[in-house]
Amino acid sequence: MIEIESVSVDFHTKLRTVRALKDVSLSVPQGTVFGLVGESGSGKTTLLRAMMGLTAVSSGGVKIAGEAVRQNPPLAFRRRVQMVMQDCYASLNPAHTVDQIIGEPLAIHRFDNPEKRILQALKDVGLGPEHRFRFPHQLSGGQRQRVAIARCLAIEPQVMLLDEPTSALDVSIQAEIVNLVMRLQQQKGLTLFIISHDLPLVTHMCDRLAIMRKGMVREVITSQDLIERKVEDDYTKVLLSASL
Amino acid sequence: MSRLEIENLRVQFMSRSGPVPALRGVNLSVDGGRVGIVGESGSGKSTMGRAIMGLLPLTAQVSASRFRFADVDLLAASAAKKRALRGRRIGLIMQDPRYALNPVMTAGAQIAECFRLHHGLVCRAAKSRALDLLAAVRINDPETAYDQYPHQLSGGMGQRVMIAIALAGEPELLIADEPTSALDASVRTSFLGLLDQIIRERGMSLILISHDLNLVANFCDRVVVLYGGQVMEECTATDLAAPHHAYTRALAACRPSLTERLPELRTFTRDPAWLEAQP
Repeated sequence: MIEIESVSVDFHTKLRTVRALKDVSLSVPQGTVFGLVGESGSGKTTLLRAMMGLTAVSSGGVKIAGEAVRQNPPLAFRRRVQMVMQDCYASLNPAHTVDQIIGEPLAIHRFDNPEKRILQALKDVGLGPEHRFRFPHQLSGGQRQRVAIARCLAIEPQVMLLDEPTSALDVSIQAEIVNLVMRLQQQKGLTLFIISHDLPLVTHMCDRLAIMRKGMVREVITSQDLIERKVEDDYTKVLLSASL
Repeated sequence: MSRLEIENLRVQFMSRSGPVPALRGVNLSVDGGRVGIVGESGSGKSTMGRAIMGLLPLTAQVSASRFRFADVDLLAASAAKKRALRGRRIGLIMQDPRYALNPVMTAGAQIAECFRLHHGLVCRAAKSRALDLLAAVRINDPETAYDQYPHQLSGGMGQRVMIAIALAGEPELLIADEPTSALDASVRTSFLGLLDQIIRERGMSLILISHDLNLVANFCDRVVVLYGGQVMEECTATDLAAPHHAYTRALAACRPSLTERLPELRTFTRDPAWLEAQP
């Protein structure tokens, strides 16, 4: 479903060139959950932006569902690939109601029957019709992240990219959101790509995960192997002992 | 060692729709050692730290039957007296160095400022003390870091500068409000090691405010669990392995684990009785 082939990304400043990603190759089959773990500055978010066509790649390429991702991708690409941002306090328009927030992508992608779809999307993420005409500031952090997920799901994507989806939330709320995402993934057969610096969380959610450091993938490992501590890379071991 | 004694502390914020209670009768006593305050967002843990520092906004109403630090009554103290306490005798490390440091002052100038204010040192002496302190918080090249602005520092370095600022007044009590939530797992470990060393060397008391039950259990001697502005449970950190209160148990259970893979993470529903159980 997702094919990342030797992607490199350079950022140019006046003085120097920073290579944010070095020759990253990953492959994620359809309907599976893949995780990306690394410290800040390791290139996780850059890779995600490259996958969304938001950042130009210097070499290599990303293919999603057989189609090469380019900058400013067509509407049909966005329809298939959606993204949930890290900070649900910043990613929802404070001047729009939940109804408008979920309705906007439906209008952009010319879906019929928005009324029904908005209510269904809210129901999918465990919110009721009473939340429909509220503003983001009238919702709790967990409810906001649910709205962000509902906004993605409304247009029925095949691939969902999640950038630190729960790092702004409490553990108890995190558990609810994670269970919700996993339930929806199974119901709808979504392909999920999750970024986080929280190794236990990614291990719980994903079938396979990649450990990144300094723009390179150090190790790709299945969650089962990680739990059984079949770890080869030294850096993964460091990360593992720091997370326990 | 100076004692912090809090009995029946109540804080409420006045709003247009009436008073909103943030703390409802909290007891806490700190006399050396490390105390952890754990709770979710909205449980009142940061309000507690701010109340001790006297940094609550004007809309807050504070009452307590006892609220003392050493020989100072924090309820009756004048603004000047509280100011003399802040930084000098009670230090605060805030959550995120990106927001808490002054963006238009170099890191060194911010530390030197503390020495000038609290110890009456002049420029050059203040600078040399600040450089010593930067070295003490294990910054590799203090001379360079001294002249760097907060945006030029990494998260871990910024957090070390924050400790340096808090230590400059040589406080007897250090309050750390979520000091590691902006840091990566590996940086967090080295940061906590440093904090541990400094507290032991200087014989300070520590109040560590965090939402991370694991972290507090590993780092503190005593733990206070807050929920809805009330203390649910107070125990030693070792007792936290087998907590008594249903809330603490539930909070501990819902973290994903690296040793087993559950089909679903555990969640819990909040029992309204938790808030009524206490007098």
